Amino acid sequence: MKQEIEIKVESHGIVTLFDIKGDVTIFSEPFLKEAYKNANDKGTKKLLLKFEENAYINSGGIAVLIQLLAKTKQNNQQIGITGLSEHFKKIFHMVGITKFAHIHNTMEEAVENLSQS
Amino acid sequence: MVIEVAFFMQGQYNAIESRLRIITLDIPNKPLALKYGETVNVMGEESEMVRMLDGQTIEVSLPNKLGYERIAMESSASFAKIIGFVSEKIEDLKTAVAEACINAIEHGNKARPDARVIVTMNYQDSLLSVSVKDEGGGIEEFPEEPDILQKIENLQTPRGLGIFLIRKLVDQVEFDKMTSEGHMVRMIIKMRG
Repeated sequence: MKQEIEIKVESHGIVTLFDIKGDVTIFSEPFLKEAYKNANDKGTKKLLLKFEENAYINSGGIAVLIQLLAKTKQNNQQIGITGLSEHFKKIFHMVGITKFAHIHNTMEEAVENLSQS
Repeated sequence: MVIEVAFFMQGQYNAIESRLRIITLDIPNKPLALKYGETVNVMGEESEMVRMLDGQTIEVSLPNKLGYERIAMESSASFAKIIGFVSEKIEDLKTAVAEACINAIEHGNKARPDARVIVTMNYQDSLLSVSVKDEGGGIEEFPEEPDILQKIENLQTPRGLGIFLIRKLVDQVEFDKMTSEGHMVRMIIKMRG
């Protein structure tokens, strides 16, 4: 079964967007780690994670995201999330991710919010 | 790979004759039609994968490999949709089933390639029951209650969220049910409430 995700990295002003295509599982770790390292090395301070609305995200994938959140906190970076289905917005809230990353309804809203804060 | 499981019922839900149609959108790329009681080989697997045990019970046998929980997810979702569950409950069910299967694959069966995970779905009296059985000896130690602050500070493992999510998403769950063949987690979702 296909396990890889694709992460397209884009700059939107001061915001670095990770446009994540595919399922987010424990196998996503090396891809997210590499994308973050590159963005961090370039000095990004604002990071936006955009998921596919129909993406499958399991607890392994959430663990990888939590590790990413930990790094952004250590490096004083702000992180936002967009693109989630209503179900996964609920899951992320249950797990407590929303204490560290705001979930936005649209990418445009996310970029504007991150840029101004 | 995407597997879509569609259930076509003749007459009443509990009709004796039911057809289970599985469409694989990968290899092989053609629909397979099953009659009641028949089994199917999917993706060249020697073992049967999905079968109907009776008019209200479906069994899915999964290879012990991460990723295959998707089959149980989609099967349970299709089953719940046919019964008439609302979308939100179906999504909750899918995640709970996925997490139970992942636990069975990783921890119950200890990632053994020769083991199987058996998922059994039954609908009766407005209750959808999904059991996930592995060949292991039960849960040795339940993970501690997840604390996001501790996880962010690296004081708690970022993993260990599966059981937490299952408890939050279904109406009732029983862990540590030992069977003659291993360990079973049984989840119940009520159609209403």
